[in-house]
Amino acid sequence: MTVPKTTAHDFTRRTTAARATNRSATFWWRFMRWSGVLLIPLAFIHLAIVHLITSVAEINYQWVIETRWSLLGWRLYDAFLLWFAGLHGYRGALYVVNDYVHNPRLNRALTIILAVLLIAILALGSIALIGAPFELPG
Amino acid sequence: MSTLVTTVRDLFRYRGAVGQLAWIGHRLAGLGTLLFFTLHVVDTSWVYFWPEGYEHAIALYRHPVFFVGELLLVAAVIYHGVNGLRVALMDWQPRLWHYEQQMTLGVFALTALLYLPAAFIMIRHLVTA
Repeated sequence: MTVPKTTAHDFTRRTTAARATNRSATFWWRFMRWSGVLLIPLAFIHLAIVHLITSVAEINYQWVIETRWSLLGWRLYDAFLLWFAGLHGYRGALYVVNDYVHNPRLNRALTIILAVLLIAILALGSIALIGAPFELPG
Repeated sequence: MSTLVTTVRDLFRYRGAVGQLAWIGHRLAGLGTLLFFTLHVVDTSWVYFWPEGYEHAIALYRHPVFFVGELLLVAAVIYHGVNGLRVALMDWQPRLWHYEQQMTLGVFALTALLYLPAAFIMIRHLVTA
């Protein structure tokens, strides 16, 4: 197996595309730290309310509408959790894909699948948060 | 894919000590949480799109299999959060790298400390339900 010779030129060459890639990688690296720190209270409080203070046995349609989504504040809270957890989680999954999948076509296919899933999840969640009724119908 | 094989095989062979355990745990906990998050957003969106379906989905979550899933999910989120805070702190203050081993053991301890009461409460929910 021959290893291509790396020259200093490879490290100093700056193309517009390479700069954009570096900027994007740096942005997401920072995003993962900041969103991660923010998600600690967001997710922990969410879990405490849904899994500890309330139990799955008490949760139903009526509970969601009456005790949670009747308040705009909780909808905003859930929207923050949805967007930050979605972006953080799918970006994390992309890191895992890039670590293990080196076949360019498979890597590209999985990247597209992750992006489509992320957009679908954000759209579904956002539409539900905006559209759900503030009180029980009828 | 060969890197995946290496990761799995060397999990038991490479002597990366607690740092490597923390890393693989972070990755598994993150992926597991992402899987649940994705399903959970879909079922919660049914509150708007399909209320009857939402009741069915929640009934499914009350099944014992999902109770085990709930126990695992809460453990995964607590660990991923506490360990992620360590990573963010160490990236922010590189002098903390000198204490990586101690901080990682601290992460394991804090995770257990937070998880034990949470697991206790969830098991009590199951018993009293």
